[in-house]
Amino acid sequence: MEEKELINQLEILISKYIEDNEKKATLIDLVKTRGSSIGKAILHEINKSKVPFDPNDSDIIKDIAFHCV
Amino acid sequence: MGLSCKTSKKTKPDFYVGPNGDVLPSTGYRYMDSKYTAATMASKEAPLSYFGFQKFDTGAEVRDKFQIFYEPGNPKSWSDGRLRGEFDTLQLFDKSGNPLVKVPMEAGDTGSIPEPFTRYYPEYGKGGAAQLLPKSKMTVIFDDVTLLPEG
Repeated sequence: MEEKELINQLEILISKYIEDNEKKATLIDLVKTRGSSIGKAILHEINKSKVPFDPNDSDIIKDIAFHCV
Repeated sequence: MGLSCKTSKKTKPDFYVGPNGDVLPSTGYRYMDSKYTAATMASKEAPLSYFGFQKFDTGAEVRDKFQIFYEPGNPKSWSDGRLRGEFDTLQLFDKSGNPLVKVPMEAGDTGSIPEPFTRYYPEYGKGGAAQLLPKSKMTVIFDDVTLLPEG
């Protein structure tokens, strides 16, 4: 997965699983600024989320982890 | 009298020292999910992210030391850590001998305190593994790729 795609997937996951709008904006800005290198931090935030997890996102999580964890 | 043919292992130093005094153990280990076993064994390369210098022999040990979230059957799991790529760290220096890797900051490299040994995510494991992170995206070439048992 290329960097652009990783960033795009991270933004999609943040939008989907982070409910607090301020935190969502902060994390998306962070991804735009720092790129996928902070993927582990984003996966941790998604892990803490109370939003029901969509099992279809499992492969994306693993792909991000392959590049960023 | 029989002859045996053994593949001799290349010898290399235990450490590499850059011109500015930066020192790295000469062998590094990157741990990945077993989902990528076939592709990584075929290509002998993978994107580099967090890596260390300790050779772990089970997925459970890897996850505990590197604080990687994993629960069997949980679709949120990041990685089972069972795929070990061993590599020569000479490729982590640029042509001038400057290191291409750094000590990550805590909180997944978003914090303000360096985290040379994993400790920030105790909910995922005990930590304590030495860790480094590439300064920018790079691919690492492995000398050896091994699928580890779970525990």
